[in-house]
Amino acid sequence: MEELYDELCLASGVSGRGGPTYLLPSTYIDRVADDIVEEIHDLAARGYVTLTPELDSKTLGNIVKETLSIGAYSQDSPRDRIQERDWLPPAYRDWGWFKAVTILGYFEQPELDVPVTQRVGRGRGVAVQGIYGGFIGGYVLEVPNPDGDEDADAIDDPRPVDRRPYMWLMNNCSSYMFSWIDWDSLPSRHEAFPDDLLPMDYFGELYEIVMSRGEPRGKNCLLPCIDYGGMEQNRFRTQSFFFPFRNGSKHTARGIAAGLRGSDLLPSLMMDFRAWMFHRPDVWPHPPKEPVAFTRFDLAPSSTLPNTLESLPREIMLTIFQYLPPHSLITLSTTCKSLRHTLTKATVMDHILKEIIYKADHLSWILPLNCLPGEMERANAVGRQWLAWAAETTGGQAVTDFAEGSESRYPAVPHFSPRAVAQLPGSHVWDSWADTESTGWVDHVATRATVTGPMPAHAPSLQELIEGGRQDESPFLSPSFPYFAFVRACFGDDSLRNRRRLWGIAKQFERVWREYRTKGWERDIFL
Amino acid sequence: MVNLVTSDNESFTVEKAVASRSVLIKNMLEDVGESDQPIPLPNVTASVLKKVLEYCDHHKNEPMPTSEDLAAEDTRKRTTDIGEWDQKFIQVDQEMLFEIILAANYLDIKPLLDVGCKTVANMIKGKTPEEIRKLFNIVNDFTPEEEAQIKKENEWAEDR
Repeated sequence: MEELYDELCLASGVSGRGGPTYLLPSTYIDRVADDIVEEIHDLAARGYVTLTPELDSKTLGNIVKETLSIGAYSQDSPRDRIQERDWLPPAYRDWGWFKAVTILGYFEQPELDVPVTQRVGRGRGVAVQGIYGGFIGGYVLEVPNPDGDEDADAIDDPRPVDRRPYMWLMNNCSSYMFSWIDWDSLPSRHEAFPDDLLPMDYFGELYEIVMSRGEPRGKNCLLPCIDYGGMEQNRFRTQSFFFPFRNGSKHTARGIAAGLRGSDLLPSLMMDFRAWMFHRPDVWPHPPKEPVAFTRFDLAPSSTLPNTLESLPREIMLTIFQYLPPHSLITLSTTCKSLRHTLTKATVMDHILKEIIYKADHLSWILPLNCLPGEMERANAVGRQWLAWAAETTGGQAVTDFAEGSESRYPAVPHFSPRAVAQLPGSHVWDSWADTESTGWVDHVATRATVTGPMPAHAPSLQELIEGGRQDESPFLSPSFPYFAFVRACFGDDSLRNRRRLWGIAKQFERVWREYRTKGWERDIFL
Repeated sequence: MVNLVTSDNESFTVEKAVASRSVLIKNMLEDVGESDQPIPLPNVTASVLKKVLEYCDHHKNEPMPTSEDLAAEDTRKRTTDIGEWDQKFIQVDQEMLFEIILAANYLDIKPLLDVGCKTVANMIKGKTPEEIRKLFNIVNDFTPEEEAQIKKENEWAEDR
């Protein structure tokens, strides 16, 4: 019998039924704790963390097991609702943001898998349907039993299922993806298909891209050529547990060394389990309580020796810096005191990061998009807090040169919807769809019919405000906005870290899209 | 044709279309009008100008960016992607690379300056502090304690 696998969203890698809700099965506690203890010892040996003598293997193991037990699932676990699991941070108890789904495919075929010899329809004829949770086009999204009998050793059969005549994406994740892809940089589809003059929408193209890749989709329905940031590394059939996404034990080690125990150690553990990959990606961090600044060091005489990079004029150096991702900027600032002195001045870093955010691509994930209702408004509210914080920490006045609430003049509708979505017979999608806060796409698809005609006005994007000389309408565009502190906070924030991951996926799809529009299908499997 | 004289007193006679890729030279030609007078370039050596002119010659038929183009470019996303020919062109030793950047800046050849800056950025990307030091002859003047402090302070930028 065909084993059941979670089918994962093409744009995010998240399961259709939401992400994990337990740390691990209780039967895995000993095994995972042993691995973590071994890694902590290794980190201590490499000087990453200092352990007191009493933290021997047995003690460490007990500490780790105690914390793992808090979020473990066993047959005896109470059948509580996810909202009642106090140990689970609130962000991981509500999957509403991820629930609304768009499925593309040919739904008249009843089989789950199309025989390998059978060809599938082309992108232009593909049906696009909307679902809210659980069911996809009459096909059930696999709902696993989250008990502990999933033996990883038995689950290494990567038989392709690329002939499934459908694929799906979470609406909000795909809205981000379609917004982040730089369409202006892509060639026309006619380059690869010069004889095919009929128009094809983005969903049609996406369908052809996915179905025609040389390396087929795996059982989880993800494209092997896309790096989902570790989501695809799950050796299990389902996304029931966080522990398969574990990446080292650095945070746990540091937490234990700092004296954290029991539930206090849980956040560190979840950081190592990369729980952030399942965090709603549109919750911007609030300003910290303290000012954010680099430690300054006195310039030693030796640091005034010229190096080749600093022999360049300052404006050229600044141009070079603006092409660098933040990680490289920070690395560069650690090479010598002179470069650190140059790079870590608040004004310089704010200037460079602002340039990077608006004119390069590395940080374009950090700002709100107007493709989802309410996102600009919520982000602007946080942005105003950052402006006030900047004024407070620099002893100045809060800049109020932007029109507070001006964005609310615009109805919250998607900016980039590749195609209106049709309703599935019998589905309850549309009632929920109207809940804009959780589902994203709204009004125009909720009319229960394919919509034609011009799109309604949408909240202006930050780029549109810049181009229209309307910088005063967003706190993010204020000259006083503390970019460095904000970027730093976003890098450390679980929600924004997942946003960055989703942006990375979108950029990979941009590359795949370019290949499709340049070279066409990698395999012809179409009717 | 236009006659250019370098800092080491070498003369180059080039097509006007080639020389005019430099906004500096283009403006000078417009100011001076038709003239056989050589144009002195006191900040550029012959070896560097030869390389710069190779770039200008290859791109001579491309339309000069207008102020509208530059404004539009300013709002477009920057990438460190470099065209195939430009990539091969800029495969030079580091000293020449920096000389080309300085010359492009002086001669006001923005596309060439961009290619140079992108190339330097690409050299830095993904490298460790030690690799960057080696690359640009940077002396590490931090004490071990200062380095430890910086490492801790910069953890936010690390992937986790």
